[in-house]
Amino acid sequence: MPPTAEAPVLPFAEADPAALKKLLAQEGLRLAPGEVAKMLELLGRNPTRVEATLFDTMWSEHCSYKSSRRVLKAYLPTESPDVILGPGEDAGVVRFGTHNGVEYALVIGHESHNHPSQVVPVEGAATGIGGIVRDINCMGAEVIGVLDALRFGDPEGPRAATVREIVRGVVDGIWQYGDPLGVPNLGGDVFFSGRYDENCLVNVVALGLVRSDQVVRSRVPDAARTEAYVLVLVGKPTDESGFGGASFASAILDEDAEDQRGKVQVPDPFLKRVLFEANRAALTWLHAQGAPFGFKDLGAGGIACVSSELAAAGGFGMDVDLDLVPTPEGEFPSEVLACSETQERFAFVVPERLAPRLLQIYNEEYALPLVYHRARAAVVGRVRTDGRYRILRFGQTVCDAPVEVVTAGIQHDRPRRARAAAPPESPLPPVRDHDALFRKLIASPNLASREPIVRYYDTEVQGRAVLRAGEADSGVLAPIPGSKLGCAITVDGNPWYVAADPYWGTAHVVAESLRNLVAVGARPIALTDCLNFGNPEDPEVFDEFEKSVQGLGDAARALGPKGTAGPPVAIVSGNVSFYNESSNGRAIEPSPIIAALGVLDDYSVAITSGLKRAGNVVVLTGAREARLGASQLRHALTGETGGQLPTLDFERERRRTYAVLEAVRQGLLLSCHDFAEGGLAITAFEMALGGFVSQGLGLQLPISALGDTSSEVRLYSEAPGFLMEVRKEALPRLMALFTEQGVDATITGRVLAEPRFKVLDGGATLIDIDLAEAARLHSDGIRPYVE
Amino acid sequence: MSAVLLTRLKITDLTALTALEAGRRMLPEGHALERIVREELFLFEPESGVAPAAFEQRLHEAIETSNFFVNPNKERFRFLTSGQRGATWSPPEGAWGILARSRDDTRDEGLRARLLREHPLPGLAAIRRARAWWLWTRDASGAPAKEYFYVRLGPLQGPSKGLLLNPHAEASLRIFGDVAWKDVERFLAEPALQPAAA
Amino acid sequence: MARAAVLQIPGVNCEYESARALEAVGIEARIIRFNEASSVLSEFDAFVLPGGFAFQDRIRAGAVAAKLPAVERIARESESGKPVIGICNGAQVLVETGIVPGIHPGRVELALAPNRAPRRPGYQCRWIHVRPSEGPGRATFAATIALDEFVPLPLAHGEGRFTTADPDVRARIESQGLVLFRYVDGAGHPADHYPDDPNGAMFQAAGITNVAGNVLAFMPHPERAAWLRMMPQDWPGAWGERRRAVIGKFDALEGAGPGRFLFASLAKRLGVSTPQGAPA
Repeated sequence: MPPTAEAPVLPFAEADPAALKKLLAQEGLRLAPGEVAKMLELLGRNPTRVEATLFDTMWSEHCSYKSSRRVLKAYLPTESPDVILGPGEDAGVVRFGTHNGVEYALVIGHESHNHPSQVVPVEGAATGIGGIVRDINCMGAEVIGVLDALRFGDPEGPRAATVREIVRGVVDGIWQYGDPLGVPNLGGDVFFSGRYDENCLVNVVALGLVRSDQVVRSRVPDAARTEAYVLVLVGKPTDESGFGGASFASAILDEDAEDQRGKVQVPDPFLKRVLFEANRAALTWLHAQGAPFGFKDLGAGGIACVSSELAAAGGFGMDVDLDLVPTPEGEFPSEVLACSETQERFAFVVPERLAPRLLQIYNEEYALPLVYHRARAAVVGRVRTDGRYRILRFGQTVCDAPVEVVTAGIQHDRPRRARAAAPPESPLPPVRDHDALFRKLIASPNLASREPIVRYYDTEVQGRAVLRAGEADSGVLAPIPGSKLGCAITVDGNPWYVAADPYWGTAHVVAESLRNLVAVGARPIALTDCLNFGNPEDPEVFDEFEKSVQGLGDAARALGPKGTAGPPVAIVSGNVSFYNESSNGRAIEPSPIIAALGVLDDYSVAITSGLKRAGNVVVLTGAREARLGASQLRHALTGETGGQLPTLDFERERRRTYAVLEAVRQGLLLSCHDFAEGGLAITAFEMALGGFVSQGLGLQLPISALGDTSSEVRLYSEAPGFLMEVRKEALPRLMALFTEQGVDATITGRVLAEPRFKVLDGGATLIDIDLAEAARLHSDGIRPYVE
Repeated sequence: MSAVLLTRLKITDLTALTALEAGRRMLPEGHALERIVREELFLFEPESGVAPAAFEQRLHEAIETSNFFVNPNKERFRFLTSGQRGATWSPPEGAWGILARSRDDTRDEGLRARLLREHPLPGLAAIRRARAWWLWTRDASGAPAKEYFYVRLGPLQGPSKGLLLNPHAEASLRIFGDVAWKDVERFLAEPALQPAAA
Repeated sequence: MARAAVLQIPGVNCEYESARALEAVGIEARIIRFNEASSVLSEFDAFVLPGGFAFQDRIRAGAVAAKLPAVERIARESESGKPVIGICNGAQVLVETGIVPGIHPGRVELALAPNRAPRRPGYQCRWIHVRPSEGPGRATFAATIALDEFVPLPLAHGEGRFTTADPDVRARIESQGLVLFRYVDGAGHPADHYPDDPNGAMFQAAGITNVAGNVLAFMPHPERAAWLRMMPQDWPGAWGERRRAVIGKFDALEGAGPGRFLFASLAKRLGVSTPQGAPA
C-alpha cells in the first residue's frame, strides 16, 4: 500500500542491523530483529507505523505466549466432563449445575499485573482487578468474586521502606477498585520473600456466573455471512493512557522505573460498575433478540487487537474507522487510537439493525456521557466477509492486511539448562524454647494473620457469601438465590517450594489448592494457573518453567477423583508472566500460582476452619515427615529457604483428599483445616483462633502419638494432610470411612472450653499460650507493613 | 514558615467536572459558573527552632521521585519552599477560591510517618492538608459576584444551597483575593474548630 | 400488596441484594434507574437508597446524588409519611439532603465524616453489633426487635461517622430519640472503643432517623445479613450459635438472619400480612 501522511511507512527492509536497532528504539518498538524479518515476510512489504505498533503488541510475550505456548500445550490437561470452554478465550467456562430447570456455568480467569504494580502500585493493582473482571464479564457472565495472590519483597530487609510502600499501595489499589465495583473479595494469599524486593507479583483471579445457554463468544458469528454486522465500541473515551502497555508488561524493570509511570493505565471502577449494569441490560436485550453476536473486552493492543481477533476467530475481516472512535479533547495519532490500552472498554459485533437500540441502552438509559466525560457507545467498524483487515483514518488506510497475517502469532523455542544442584541443607539447630519459637513464628510475615489486609476488602457485597476469606480454607458462595448450589475457590502458591524443586514444588501447590477445596466440602472441578517467572531467554529460568508446568500437569491428572484412570482436574484458563527480575538480572523465585474451583451440591455442608465446641476431638491425617526443606521453620532457624521438600505421593494424596471431601459431605466434621506453611502448629493454632473473631474456645494438642521424630518436625513439618474436628459420636464413622479408603487418621487433640493453646509432648508442655494474647501477636505481625 | 505543595490532576478531573455540572444546575438564569479547578494543598510545618531549608531540598526530591504526593501519570504539582512562596497566595487569574479543611486535626500523621521511613527529613514536624476549590464566576452584569456564589456553592446549608463542602465535617476559608500565607497556616493549625453558627 | 422502589443511582452496588431482602418479607421491590421519570416514584409505598458509591463519591459521599431530581422526589414523598431507608451510601445521601434528621426542615444538619479509628482510618469491612433504642422511628424500622436485643451486622464504609457542628442539633437528636440504632459490644453494652465502635460517631450512632420517624439513615448493611446463611459460622453469641446449629441444613440457612428484622419491621408498617421468615 502507498504511504500517506496518516500512514508513514517504516523502512525496515532497507535498514542494516544498526539502523534497524535505531529505528526500533526511535519508534518505541520492542520487536526483536528476527521478529521484524518475520513481519516483513508476512506482510510482503514494509509496515506502516500503525501496523508495526500492532505487531509489536500482538507479538509481545504478554499477548503471544511466544515462549510458553509449546510447553503449555505439551503438558497441561485442559479437558474434562466439567469443562465447557477451556483456554483460548478470555476466560474458562465450566459446568456448575441446574436450578429450576436452568443450567448454569461458572466462568474463571486468572491474570497478572506485576510490573505496573511495582512502578505505580495503586493504579497497577487496580488495573489488574479491572482487567480480569472484564475478561469474565465479556463471556456474558456476572462477576461474583475476585481473589488476589500477592508476592512482596522482604518487609524487614534492605529495601524494607520501598517494599512496605508497595504492600500498602497494592492493597489500596485492590480495595479502591474492587469495593466500588461491587464485587466481593473471596480470598487470596500473600507471601513475602527477598527475591521480590524489586519485582512484586500481583496475580488476580475472578469468578463469574452465567446461564450455560448465554455464554457469549469472542468472535464474529457465522450469521455475518448473510447479514451486515458492525463493530460497536463501548466505554471510556480512547486516549493515550497505557499506550505501549503490553510491551511494558513484558519488559524487565530497570532502576529508573519511575520514568515508566506514564505508561500505566488510569482505571475507573465507577465507570466499570455503570458499564456492568449497562452490559447486563444490553446482553439481556440481545439474547432476547435471538440474533447471534460477539462480545470481547479491550485489553492490551486496544481496538486493533480486539477487532482483528474478533474477526479472525470467526473467519472474517473488518474495517475499523478511527474517526468514529470517541476520544477526550485533543488530537491522538492513529497508532495511539488503534493500540492504546485505555481501560474500561468493551466491543460488540452485532447486526447493524440492532446497533441503534444497543447504543441507546448505553448512551441514554445508562447515561454513559453523563457519568463519565465523553464516555459512550459508538459504531466504529464493519465486518467484511473477505478476510481483509483495514484500519482507516481521515479517509486514508493506515493498516491493510489479510486478518490471518495480523493474528498469525509467533513462537520461539527457548533453550533449557538445569540449574546446578543446590548445596546440601545445613543441619537445623536444636530448638530449646518451643514457646518462644511459636510466638516468633505466628507473628512472622508469612504466617501472621492477613486480617490487616482483608479488612480493606468488601467480602459481603452481593449477599452471596457463605464462608469468607480468613474463615475457611476456601471462600464459599451461594451464587444463585434460593438454590442449594455452592461454589468454592482458593488461590495458592509457595515460591520457596518451587525454587527448591520446580516439578514437585508446583505439584505441592496443586495438591494444597485441592486440599483447600475439600476442606470446605467442595468437589474440585477446575484449575487456573498464572506462571510468574524470570527471563525466558535464560536457559536455567526456562528449564524451571518447563519442569514447573510438567509438575502442574501431572498433579492435575493424578489428583482427579479417580486419579490418572479418570478425568483430570482440568486447567481451563491461565496466564504467563515472564521477565520478573531485578535490575541486576536476578530472577524472582519461580512462582506458579494456582487457583482451584470447586462445587458443592448443597452449600449448607460447608464448614470453616474454626473450632466449634468444647469437648470435641481433633483428628490428624497425613504423617509428619522429617523433610523440612523450604519450610517456614527452616527459614526461621537458619535463614535458608531451600532443601528437600516433603514427599508428595500422588495416590496417597488423592485418597486422603477425597476421603476428607466425603467426610465433610456426610457431616462428620465440624471444622477442617489443611497443613500448609508452618505445618501442624500453625494449622492447629488457626483452628483454635477461629477466623478473625474468637468464640473463646481453645485447643489441647498432645503430639506424642505422631511418631518418633523431633518435636519440631512433628509441629512444623509441612507434609500434606489435614486436621479435623469431630464430635465424639461421629468418630467411629469417620474412622471407618478413612480405614475403608486406606487413609491414616490419628486422634491428636481436644477442644477446650477456655481460650488457651497448649501443645504437650510426653510429659513436657512445649507451648502454652493465652489465645487472646496470641491473637494480638498474630494480627499485629504484618500490620506495620499495611497501615 | 511552611513549605507548600499544590497538586492537581492533569487528566480530566471528573470531580471538578461533576461539581461544575451540579453547580450550574443550582444557579438561576444569568449566573454563570464558567470553570472549577480543584487543588490539594500540603503544608510542611517545621519543628520550632528548625530552619525549614534544612529539609526542603530533600523534600522536593522526595516529591519528585516518589509516589507519596504526585503520580506524574495523573498529576502535576507546584512545590514552593518557605523562601519561594512569598507572603501571599494568589488565586489563579480571574478566579477566587474556597479553602476547605477537615474540622478534625488537619495533620496527616500516617503520611508523615510513611514519608519519613523512606526519606529522612529531620525537622519536619507535620504535614497539614486542605483542599482548594477555584471558581470562575460571573453574574448578569459580568461581575464575579464572589459572595453570592460562595453562598450558593460553598458550604452546604440546604438542598439547594451549598455544594462544595459540608460544614458539619469541614471548615472553609474564603480566598476572594490574595491571602496571607500566615492566615492559611493559622486556618489549618487551629486544632478543633468551634461549631459553625447556626 | 406493598411496593418499594430501590433507587439505582450510577455507582450504587447493593441494589439487587436490597431488593431481594425486601422480597423476602413480602414487599414487591423494583429497581428504578435514577433517570426514569421521577413521577413513577409516587406509585411506591416505600423507598430504599442502597449502598455503593453513587457518582463515585465525587465532591464527597452523597453530595451529588442528594441533588438528583429522583432523590428530591423521594424526599417529597417522605413528607407524606412513606418510609425511606438509606443504607450506607444511601444514608450519606439522606444526610446530604437534610431529610435526616430534619429538625429544622430545609437545613442540612449532619455530616457523615471519615471514620475515626486508631491506626487505621479509612475504609473497613467488618461485622459489628447494633442495638435499637426507643424513638419515633421504632414503629417503622424496629418493631420486630426487642429493646434488649442486639444483632450482628456487617458494615463497609470509610465515611460513617455521624457528626454535627451544631450543638443544638446534637442535643435534640439525643433528646428526641432520633438515634434509633447504636453500636454495642458483644454483650450488648454501649460500644466505648474500637472496633466495637467502628467509626467514632456521636452517641455511637449506627442509624439516625428524621423527627417523624419514617426516614432512616443506617450505616451497616442489613441486606447482607438478611439470611442465616450469611452469618459468619464462628461468630460468638446467640446468632453464631444459631448458625453453627444448622450446618448441613439448607432450609434453615435460607431462613431469617440477623438483618431481617429491619425489613420485617418495614413490612409490618406497610401492612404486609405474612412477612416471610420474620425472626421468631
